[in-house]
Amino acid sequence: MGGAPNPVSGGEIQEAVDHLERAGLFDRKPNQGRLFHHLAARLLRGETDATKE
Amino acid sequence: MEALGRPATFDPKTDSIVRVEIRKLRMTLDEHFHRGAGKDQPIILRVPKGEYRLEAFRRDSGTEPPQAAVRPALSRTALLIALPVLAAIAATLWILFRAPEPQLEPVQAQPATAAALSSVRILAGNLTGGFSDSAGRQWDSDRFFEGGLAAAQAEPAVTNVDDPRLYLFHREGQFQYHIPLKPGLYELRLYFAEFLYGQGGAAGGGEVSRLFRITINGEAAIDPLDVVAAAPGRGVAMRRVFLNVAPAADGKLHLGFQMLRPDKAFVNAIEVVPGLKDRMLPIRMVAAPQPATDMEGNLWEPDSFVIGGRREARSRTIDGAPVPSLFQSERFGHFTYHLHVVPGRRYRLNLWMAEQYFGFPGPAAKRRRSFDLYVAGKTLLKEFDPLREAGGPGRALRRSFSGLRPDGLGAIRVQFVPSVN
Repeated sequence: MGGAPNPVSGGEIQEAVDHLERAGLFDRKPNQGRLFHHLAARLLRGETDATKE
Repeated sequence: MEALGRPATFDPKTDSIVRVEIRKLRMTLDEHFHRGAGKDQPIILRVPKGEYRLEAFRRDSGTEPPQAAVRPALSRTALLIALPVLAAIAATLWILFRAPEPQLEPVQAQPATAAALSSVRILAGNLTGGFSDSAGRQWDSDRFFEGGLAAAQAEPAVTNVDDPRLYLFHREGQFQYHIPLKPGLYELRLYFAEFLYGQGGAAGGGEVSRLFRITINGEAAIDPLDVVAAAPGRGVAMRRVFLNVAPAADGKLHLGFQMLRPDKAFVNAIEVVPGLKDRMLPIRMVAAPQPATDMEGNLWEPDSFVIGGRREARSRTIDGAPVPSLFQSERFGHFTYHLHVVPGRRYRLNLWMAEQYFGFPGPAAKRRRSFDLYVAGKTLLKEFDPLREAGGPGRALRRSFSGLRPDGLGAIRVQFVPSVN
């Protein structure tokens, strides 16, 4: 993926994603939840959006 | 961005929705991992400022970049104050219940610790795996139980809720759950659908055929529960809600399910969410197959616990709509919402509607609809014509009713009965 080297493994990222899921962080924020899972899937696949805000 | 219905070629410079949502997500993650329940998590996820991607960092590695400047997130109190009303629609319909009414501006809407509390959602009897429901909430396979038997439901699924998967399995017998929770106040919701007893069921009978007791930390919370009576009926989903639930001294919430007569106790699903002291969380429902989010971030769930009527997508632009996405679908016809709430309290019902069929140019231009609205034997609306009341078609209209009390079975039953069309 682009940017700085990422020292975190895919398994650890998945654990962090699962932690947020279990914490219910997006229970009342479905748009953010969908966006988060979209970006998380890209991170896990090693992809990135080059587009800047 | 595909996640928000945008193509991969979207231009964030011109797509303000994606830009706003990514900014909110950045703040949500930052709040969670630095000041919230995730402040001790070893791996931090964040959205870099100005970019549309996630980064992962090990907290103790020293590789984490400086935090983005974060505006303090709105408190739940602020959200509720900013959204003092809401509603349902008969043509286009959404519903909000808030308890107890009519505190428009709650002084303390959320315990200070609630942000750090986690939700627990358990599919009782489901040993195969969890799923995310239509509102994006994760339900886990059965856990934390002691005793009883896991069972699958062979009958067709329930039809009065948006997501029948909660009712495909159950745990039955005499059993307990010991659910670890952080100290704090929670709202407990238990979900049920009776299939064995009742008309057409294998065991026949109906009401009073299966009675059982539910205890919370050793104290009787319902004694007895008759699912067929409360739902009402066989194969009809229902839920019971409990306030001010907290873990016992050992850090666990102890739920007991005790059979009375003549058969086993059961439960289909258990949900524990951060709650409000002495107040039920608002019920927000939209008559649509997908959830909606209002401008304050409140989730409006697809309507459930409703029998009858017909849900139909609509595409008109509604004048005066506080949240346009809530008017993209409607339920019409003859239908009743069975809204399961905490007994012994008063509630306010807000309905939003807009006439999206009659009154527009075309074959229905000269025609009208009208209907009656009944709650607990009282007539709240009589021959109500949303087109006339709103002053024309495609205009948002609100009606609010305070002081509603649930029946003895813990439900407010909102009945829409057509008088014309």
